[in-house]
Amino acid sequence: MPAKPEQLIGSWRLKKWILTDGNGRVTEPMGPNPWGLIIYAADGYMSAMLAMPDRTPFAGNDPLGGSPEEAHRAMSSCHAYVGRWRIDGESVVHSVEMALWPNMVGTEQVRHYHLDGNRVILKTPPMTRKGASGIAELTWERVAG
Amino acid sequence: MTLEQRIVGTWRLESWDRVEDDGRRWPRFGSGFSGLLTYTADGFMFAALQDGNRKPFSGPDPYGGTAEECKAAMSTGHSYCGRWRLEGDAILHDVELSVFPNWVGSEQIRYVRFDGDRMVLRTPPTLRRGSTGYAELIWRRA
Repeated sequence: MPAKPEQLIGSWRLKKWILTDGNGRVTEPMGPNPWGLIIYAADGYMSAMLAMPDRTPFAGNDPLGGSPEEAHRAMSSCHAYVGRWRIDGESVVHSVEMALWPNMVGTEQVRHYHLDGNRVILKTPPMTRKGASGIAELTWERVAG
Repeated sequence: MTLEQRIVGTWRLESWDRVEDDGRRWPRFGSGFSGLLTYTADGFMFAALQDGNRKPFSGPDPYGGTAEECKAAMSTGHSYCGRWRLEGDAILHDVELSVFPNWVGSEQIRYVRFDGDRMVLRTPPTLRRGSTGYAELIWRRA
């Protein structure tokens, strides 16, 4: 049954992120305790950020001013994008307007969703993340308002 | 309408100026710079700011760029999110996640006022190239 959009509206925290490769092998690209927040706003915008815990701070305090090595560490452990969202059948479509990873800007990210109580599982098409390729499954839990 | 109700929603960046204490003011970034800022009624916020014309990575993995690719992307974009609350005319952003690791766990203060349908956010004073001033970001509803 397609969800009503209001079932997704709100803020969700990442609980689990697994990736299953073509041979059925399951890995956790961001480790067992990934951080993440996804917001489906009532006005049609969405925002997502995913990160590993315990990332190393930069030496300086300018968000845009790290060294190549610092930037490399930061981007190997974090990902963020924003845009508009809509329900399309059993999928939620993210039309990406801005993203930390430039390649994602202007793309449509389709996520099959499965609602289960206060959780939603978003399943991706095949993709490569942290060197592993396959279908990713991200489990999110609604934050009590 | 309460101040909180005026703030909730998604905002698009119209301008980002650096204002020095002696009154000098100039745009902090070029015209291709854009931003989206969401405040939700359930207490979360998300800010994304970036330059236009950023170069794609050569590979298919967002976590797999080279140091040079990552440096170029990080020096032209920034995102953070967390909870928000009002204290007087200050919006407090309790940062839970940030592309820039140093901001995780920090509190980012933005002074808010409305100018017609524009929301104006001002940072606390900062030192930049030896001069004290602040950033002023003007947003219109997306």
